[in-house]
Amino acid sequence: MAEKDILLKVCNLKMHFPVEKTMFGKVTSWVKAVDDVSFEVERGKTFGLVGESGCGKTTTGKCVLRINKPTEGQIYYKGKDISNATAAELKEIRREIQLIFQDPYGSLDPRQSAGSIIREAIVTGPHDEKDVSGRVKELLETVELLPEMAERYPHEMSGGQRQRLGIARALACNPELIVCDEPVSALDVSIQAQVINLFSSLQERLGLTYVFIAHDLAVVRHIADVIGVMYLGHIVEIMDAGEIYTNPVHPYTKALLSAVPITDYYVEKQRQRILLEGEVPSPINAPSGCPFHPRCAYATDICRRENPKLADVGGGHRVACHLCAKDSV
Amino acid sequence: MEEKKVLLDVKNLRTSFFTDAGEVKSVNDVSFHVNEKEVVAVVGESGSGKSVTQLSVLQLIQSPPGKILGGEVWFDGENLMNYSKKQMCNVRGNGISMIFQEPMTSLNPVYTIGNQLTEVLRAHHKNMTKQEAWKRGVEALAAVGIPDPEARMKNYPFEMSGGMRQRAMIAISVACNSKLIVADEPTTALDVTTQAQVMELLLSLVEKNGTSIIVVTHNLGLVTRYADRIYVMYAGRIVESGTTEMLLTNPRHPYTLGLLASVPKLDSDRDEKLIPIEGTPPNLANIPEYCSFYPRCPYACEECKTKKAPTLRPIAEEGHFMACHLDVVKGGQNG
Repeated sequence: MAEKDILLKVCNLKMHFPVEKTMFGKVTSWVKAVDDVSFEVERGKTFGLVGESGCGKTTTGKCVLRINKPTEGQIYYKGKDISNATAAELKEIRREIQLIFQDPYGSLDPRQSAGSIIREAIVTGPHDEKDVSGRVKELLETVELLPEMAERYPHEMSGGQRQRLGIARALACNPELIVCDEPVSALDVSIQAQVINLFSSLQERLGLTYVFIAHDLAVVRHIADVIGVMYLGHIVEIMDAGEIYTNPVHPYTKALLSAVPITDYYVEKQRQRILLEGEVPSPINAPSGCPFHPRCAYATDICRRENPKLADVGGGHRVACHLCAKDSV
Repeated sequence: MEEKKVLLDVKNLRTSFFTDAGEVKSVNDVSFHVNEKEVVAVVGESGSGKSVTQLSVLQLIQSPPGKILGGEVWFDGENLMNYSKKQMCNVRGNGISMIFQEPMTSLNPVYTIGNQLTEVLRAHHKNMTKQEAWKRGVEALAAVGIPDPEARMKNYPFEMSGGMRQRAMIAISVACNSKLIVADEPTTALDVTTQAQVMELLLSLVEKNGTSIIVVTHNLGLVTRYADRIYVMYAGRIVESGTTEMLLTNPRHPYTLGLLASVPKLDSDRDEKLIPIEGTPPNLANIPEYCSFYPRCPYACEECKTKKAPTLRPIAEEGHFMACHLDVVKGGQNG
């Protein structure tokens, strides 16, 4: 097999936020939003991060962009550790790593026209002074918006059009990596498919690499090449997107999958459902041992004591579960 | 098939909002019914009028700008449209109760859950004592699977998670013994695992209390799993209706077909491209005389533009209706 071209590599990333302090400023409790997360993203591929709200998927994305400075761990972008990069270095890096937000309305300035929003992103980077308008037009075309849209303000656009504008802005400085944080979850079903297809075609045309964060398993499975399932700040399973439906191993992944209803009537009627009891524990008082053990039907003593590490179960499919690892070895 | 008793029968309901931009026909001649012990789903995109339809049934439309222009709402043998405001107050809660999408905004943040539960109970049962109401409240919370209900009664909404809050909302409906629960996007704000819990809870009410449920949603998957019958709405009209099995295995209207083709599926081939519905939903202030799906319909022909908007008509199977001049699946034109 050819050497993999790794664009982004995250090693043992930890992001802890202080929540309580004593009078003297000593921190007494932490939210461990991201706790020991590692993954790699190949150039031109999509890495999907799924999980429920509060599992740390957005914080992971923010760390990759260095919006949050990680507490511990390294982030290698093109082989260079950016976890301690200075503000000046970050300015350069962020041109190559862009972000697309969930709420296209909240992330666009309501008083700026679409053209001006894109122009602003173009002129901050190296650009051809004479051809800014041409580039704006080109970007609008890239995201399949009409050139007339440049005159419009965000409130005059539909949700799908706004999200396209957000994508155009992210593309303005020719990024290589785009972190997409729930980019389609605010859109209507019929529009969602349009935007998902746009993401795929942009990737083919421009060779983009995505970190795609979403809670909708079906969407992530469709767009991602590799999927990481997060639970309470940990990645509990990493696998090829094709395997998530056919071969989920971790009990949490299985439960998550069975909770997602599917639209095939006959398959749906026969599917077995695993109802998870209770709720996601608070990351302030994360349970000892495996983070999933209080809700896991198979939990044993070792699960309560030790936090399992990701272990290979074959073909690059890695699972963090004491029981699953044992079975396969 | 056994004869089912109809609980709610809505006929030719029309609701419009009169705005500066003109008359917005949110609900345009909508008829549907709900049988006893049935879960009915109303599916549509935002702006299709699915929520306004339900609010009109409960007469909760703010007026002005909204106005219910016509139609009949038969609930339990009575036409609610002839009811006075006072009588309607009795129907809401006792007869029909509603659960909203955002449980945080539909619960009052400055009162405890117990306070809000007992308030509702005592509003509907005038001679119920505080103690009695409190007891009923605790029972209701226990019935919706909230652990330690006694303590939870004293909690404020912000002290509970999203799933818990939605359960508390359901508890209010349970406490009132409503015959029909209208759940407007009940799980959209919740995580998938919590969504499954809440839906299972709603379903258990159908079995235990014989409640009927209307689920308003845009999530086709949710419908597949939980609904008995489906109404698909587009631009203020119902475009297709039938049992869940009929609509999902044999969809006939181009919009339903489009919706099903555009959702990513967990079990499909990953390389398969999604087929989106092109364009955007129409502006309801300006719907054409002809079929409102015409501009986005891949099958549209000359006839669709010249003829008046199609009305629901029965097709092959019993209980399956759709509103389209063509029959794109069969290929024939028999409109």
